[in-house]
Amino acid sequence: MKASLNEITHAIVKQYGRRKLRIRLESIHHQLFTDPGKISFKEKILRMFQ
Amino acid sequence: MGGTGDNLPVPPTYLYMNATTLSASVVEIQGFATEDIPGLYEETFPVVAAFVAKMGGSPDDAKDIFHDALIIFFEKDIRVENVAAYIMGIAKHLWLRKYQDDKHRVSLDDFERTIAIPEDEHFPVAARLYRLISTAGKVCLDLLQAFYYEKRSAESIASEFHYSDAHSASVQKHKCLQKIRTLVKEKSMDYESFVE
Repeated sequence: MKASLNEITHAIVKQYGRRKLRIRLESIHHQLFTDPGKISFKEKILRMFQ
Repeated sequence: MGGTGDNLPVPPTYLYMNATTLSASVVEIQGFATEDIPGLYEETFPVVAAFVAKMGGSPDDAKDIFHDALIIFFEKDIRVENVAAYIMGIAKHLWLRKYQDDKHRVSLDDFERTIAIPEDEHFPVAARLYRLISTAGKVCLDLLQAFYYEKRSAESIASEFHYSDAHSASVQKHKCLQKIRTLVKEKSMDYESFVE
């Protein structure tokens, strides 16, 4: 499929933004599962999978 | 804890907010205040995780499908009354897309059936090209994704990126668009090789 220069540029910007958002979500997830103050949250989730 | 005059608990605002409820000074992703995302996450992830666990998935499955659902939700840039229910609906669709054999085990209600899930990108950028551009054009991509992906206001972007005003930020946006276009052009003589 042939894409225009403009389409490629906007696809790159979207991919870049999406990757930044995914990194942010990973960081929030990590914090929720490692913060001692959120231990009950972590246990609640893990119990669901036992 | 806050409450109404009848002492009823007030639902978390991020579950019901939309772009119009936010202050222009708040940093937003698709109209959603970034500072509210952890709260939304903590409130909504257990709902999606319970669904994934019921379907026999793993904690990692739950995380992956939840992140994909959040990204789709933010990219839709829409206003909904119940954000949590909407994200749950997206997650169900994503599960069904991945595990079509579970059709008989997952029931979508009328509201969930109205949720449209986008197909894959029309122009996925080749990994090699993306790596080259995202390294060489990082500063510009940070600015451009704030405009086009996060859909933030020029005022908000000017403030974060230390431009004197919204006009200066917009001028820089156009310069950056040109820079990325030039970089793309330089990295290959054949645009067809950019897409996979």
